[in-house]
Amino acid sequence: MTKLMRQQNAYRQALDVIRICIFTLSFSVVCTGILHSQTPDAQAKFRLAQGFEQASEWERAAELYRDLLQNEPGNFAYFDGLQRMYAQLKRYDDAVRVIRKRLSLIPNDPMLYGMLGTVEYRAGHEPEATRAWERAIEIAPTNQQSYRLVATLMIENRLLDRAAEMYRRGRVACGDAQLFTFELAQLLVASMDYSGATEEYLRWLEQNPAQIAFVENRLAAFTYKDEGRAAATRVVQSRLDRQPTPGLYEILAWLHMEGRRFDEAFQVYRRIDDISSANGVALLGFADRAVRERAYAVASQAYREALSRALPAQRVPQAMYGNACALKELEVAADSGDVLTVTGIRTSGDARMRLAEAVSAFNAIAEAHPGTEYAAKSLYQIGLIQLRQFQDMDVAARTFQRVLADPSANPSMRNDVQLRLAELLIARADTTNAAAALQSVVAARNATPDQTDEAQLHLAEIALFNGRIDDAVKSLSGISTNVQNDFANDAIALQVLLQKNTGASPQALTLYGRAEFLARQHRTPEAVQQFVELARLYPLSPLIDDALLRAGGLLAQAGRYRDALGVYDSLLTKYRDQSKMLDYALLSMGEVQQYGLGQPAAAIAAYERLLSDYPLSVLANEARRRIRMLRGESL
Amino acid sequence: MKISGLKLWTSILVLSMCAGVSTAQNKILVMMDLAQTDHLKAYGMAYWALTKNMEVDWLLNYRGGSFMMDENPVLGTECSVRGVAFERIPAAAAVQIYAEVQRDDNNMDVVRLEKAPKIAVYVPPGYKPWDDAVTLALTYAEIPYEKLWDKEVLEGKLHECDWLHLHHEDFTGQYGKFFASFASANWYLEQQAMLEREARTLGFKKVSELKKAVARSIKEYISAGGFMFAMCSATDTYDIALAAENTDICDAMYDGDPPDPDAQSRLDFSRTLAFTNFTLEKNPLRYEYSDIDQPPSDLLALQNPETDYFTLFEFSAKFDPVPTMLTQNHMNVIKGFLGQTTSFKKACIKKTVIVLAQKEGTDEVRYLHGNYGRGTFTFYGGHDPEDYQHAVGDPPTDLSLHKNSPGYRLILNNILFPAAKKKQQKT
Repeated sequence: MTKLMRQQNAYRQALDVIRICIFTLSFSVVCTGILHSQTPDAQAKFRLAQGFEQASEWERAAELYRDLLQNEPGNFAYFDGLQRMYAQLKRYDDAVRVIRKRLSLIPNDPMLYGMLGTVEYRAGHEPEATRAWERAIEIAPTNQQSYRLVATLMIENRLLDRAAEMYRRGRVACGDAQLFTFELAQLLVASMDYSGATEEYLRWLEQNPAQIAFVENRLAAFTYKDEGRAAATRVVQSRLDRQPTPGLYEILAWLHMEGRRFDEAFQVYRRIDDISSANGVALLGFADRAVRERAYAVASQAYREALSRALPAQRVPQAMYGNACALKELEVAADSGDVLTVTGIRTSGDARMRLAEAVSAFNAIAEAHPGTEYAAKSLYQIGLIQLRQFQDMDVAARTFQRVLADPSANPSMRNDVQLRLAELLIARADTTNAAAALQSVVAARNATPDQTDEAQLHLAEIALFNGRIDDAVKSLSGISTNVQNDFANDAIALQVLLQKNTGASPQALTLYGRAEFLARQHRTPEAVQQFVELARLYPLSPLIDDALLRAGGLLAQAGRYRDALGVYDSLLTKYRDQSKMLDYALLSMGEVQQYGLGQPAAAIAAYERLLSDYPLSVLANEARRRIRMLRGESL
Repeated sequence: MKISGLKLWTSILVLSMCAGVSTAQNKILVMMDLAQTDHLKAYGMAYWALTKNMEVDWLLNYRGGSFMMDENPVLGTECSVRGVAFERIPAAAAVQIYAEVQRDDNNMDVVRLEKAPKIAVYVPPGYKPWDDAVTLALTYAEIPYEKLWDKEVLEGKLHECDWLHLHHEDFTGQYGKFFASFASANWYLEQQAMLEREARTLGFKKVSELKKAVARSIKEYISAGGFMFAMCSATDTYDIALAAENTDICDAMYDGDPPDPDAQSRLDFSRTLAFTNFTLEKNPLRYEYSDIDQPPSDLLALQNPETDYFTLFEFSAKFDPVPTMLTQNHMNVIKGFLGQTTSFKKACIKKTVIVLAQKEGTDEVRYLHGNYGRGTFTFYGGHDPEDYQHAVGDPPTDLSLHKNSPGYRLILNNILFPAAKKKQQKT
């Protein structure tokens, strides 16, 4: 369509609008005049009719409207009231007659034809309804109001598809491709035509390319559903194939993210980065978002790709650190696929090989950007991995010392390093220096409550290892009363252990502390020997359950599965009468057979024995769940 | 030495009894009184046993309506794995239990369950199983079910199933009368569009006409011997739809045109199953269909959960086995729960219908049962027995926290009922 034609159309439409405004204004004046010129009787009757209508007394209201209209055939209010009552009473033939009579007075009123169409449709006369609506259009075929009027009436009569068609017709007839965009889009969403709705919003976006967020907001009305999102994605992709624009790419990427299809989103962001010459910045933003959504694999890819582009210098450490963290989280996520077990046995594979890549990435940051916050954070992460996953105590200690020596390490990180160093020192049997490190955290003014609580817990453990039970209890009192903090459970468990056994068997408790200390030093054979010895020396102590279950757990974690089974079996046989936790022993046996020895039948037998011997055990539901899982039943 | 005749006959009798006992089978009793750890899964166990072609006897009124089965190692293990308590009963003791149950002066009886019924649930596409108490119960009890909707019902697929549950459907075509509160909500608009499309596809101009056709098909299914169970709004709306066969009760916001002004007088109560002489609610914005529902939905806020209970009636196990089966429970006073249709006004219930439970001192019937043709129907008021006032969007009920729910037991009684072997009536 040429500019001249558009101008002419606009001119014509403006004239139509002016005509309609004049008509409406005159009509209002006339109506007001009419009402004012009504006799008091007529006014009262009219109000009475309205009253009956509100009270749903349709017949009586109709009678009054009919009388009023007979006296004043030109009065719109009376006419409208009567036709409305006839429609309400389903006296459609009477309604048609009244409307046609009105049409004889005002032959070219689109509104009347619209009314006629509605009444005919409700009467079941579809062809007549269609003719009436078409007539409404014919009166002003290039006026958008005509189409709006008829489409609205069709919607009222639940003819949604036809209403959509009417909007489209109006668009063509009025020569305006943007006409009725939002009306049509909303109608299509209500009709669950998500492809059509998307087309409409994209059409609008073409004219308003900066309004991407607005369009995404509108699409979100149906893209939360799989079928809505799939339809929108198809449409956007198809548009992109025909005419790629940055806005369309952004919407496509957004759709993929909404559907958690991060690999696809990544591919789109690569393209966005290319066409906007962002030099990796767009990819960096995507990678950060992917990390927040826990899509670590694709986040790592995106970080690396951003780094391979000409990323601004100040963003490089951020990208490197993001990548290293994503790699680490990827491995942690794999670990957390571990089933939670009472023995502590790992149900997934060896961490060392998988984390090497993360360590290498953190090292690269420390080397390339020394003296920065990212370097200090990287060193800390390396130290954590070395301590927790690789259990390289010496290497971890050196790494943590490097962090402390780095001036860019912030105070909170320093406190965390002290806590890790204490952990390390305990593992090296150096409780004096470990306690000093922990005390420094307790005394630090900038320590967070969680850091302080962790330090107090470990101080209590050190006191237990050294046989100072009262000191241990004192250290725990502050933590265990605040059940909001992360260490409350551990503190309560330790407190219960201490309280249960302080009076009953203090010597057993001291021996237990020594054995636990050996376990912390990863001296598993000696620790196990001590725990077993505790049970032998103090068979009536309440501690035998804790001791033997701990021994079994240590053996299972060390891969000595048959030895672990032997320890659990001793609880079930030799110490059967004294033990209060035989159900735990059975569950532990099942775990070792299931995850350690890979013997599902034996595991099921152990779990079934738990169910039959201890049906009221708190572990019964877990045992049931594992049996059904092993049977391959869906839970 | 001569053995006296009496001693000889006594010996023979004792020996015979021992021989009889030694050929009798040891049993497993899944008790359903307060000793049971998981009543709901116990029904699932009985169903599971039927699917394995095991014989299951339902001991009506014995220890809360217990199940007795022949002992086998698999059965005991399965009970343990599912968390269902059971007792091993030696053969002799089992014989005594049967004798006790079948004694004439005991209100107990034995019903043999023959086969696992094929269960169907009438649900719309996109329904969420936790929106409905029956599907929650079936899922928890691990009883499988098929889903079907309008198309399948009109195609006659109902006759392939033994038991039909009606989801909280509005058979009147008024979209649950949620218009006043949710007219512009996305889910409401989508539901309306989906149903209208469904109606047009199946050749109906209006959703109300489609639902009437579905209601008729269900009625035919019952007449031919099917079992139908409905809860909440599926109860009264079903009968209203049947009664409104020849009139239009839906206002313009529901079907595009006003209702028939004489709709009330054109209701045909001879077509309904359970209700009669009810008055329609004409206000389209009121969350109510008729005066069948008691208390009215706008007065639910006045209900007090602390004092809302209903009582199960007692029936003769030997002469009225069906209502007895349907009311098996370990409690006979059960805490109430609300729904779009909570209870049924007694004056609106047909005389041929059996009232199974009622709120004491009121005319609010909670649970009823009747026959139609060769089949039966059961209506149970309320939405969720363990969620006193469930609202749209509320989180689902976790049945593992309500394993012994007496309210849910009434639902599951209905599921096993079609499995029962028809007994010869005593003459």
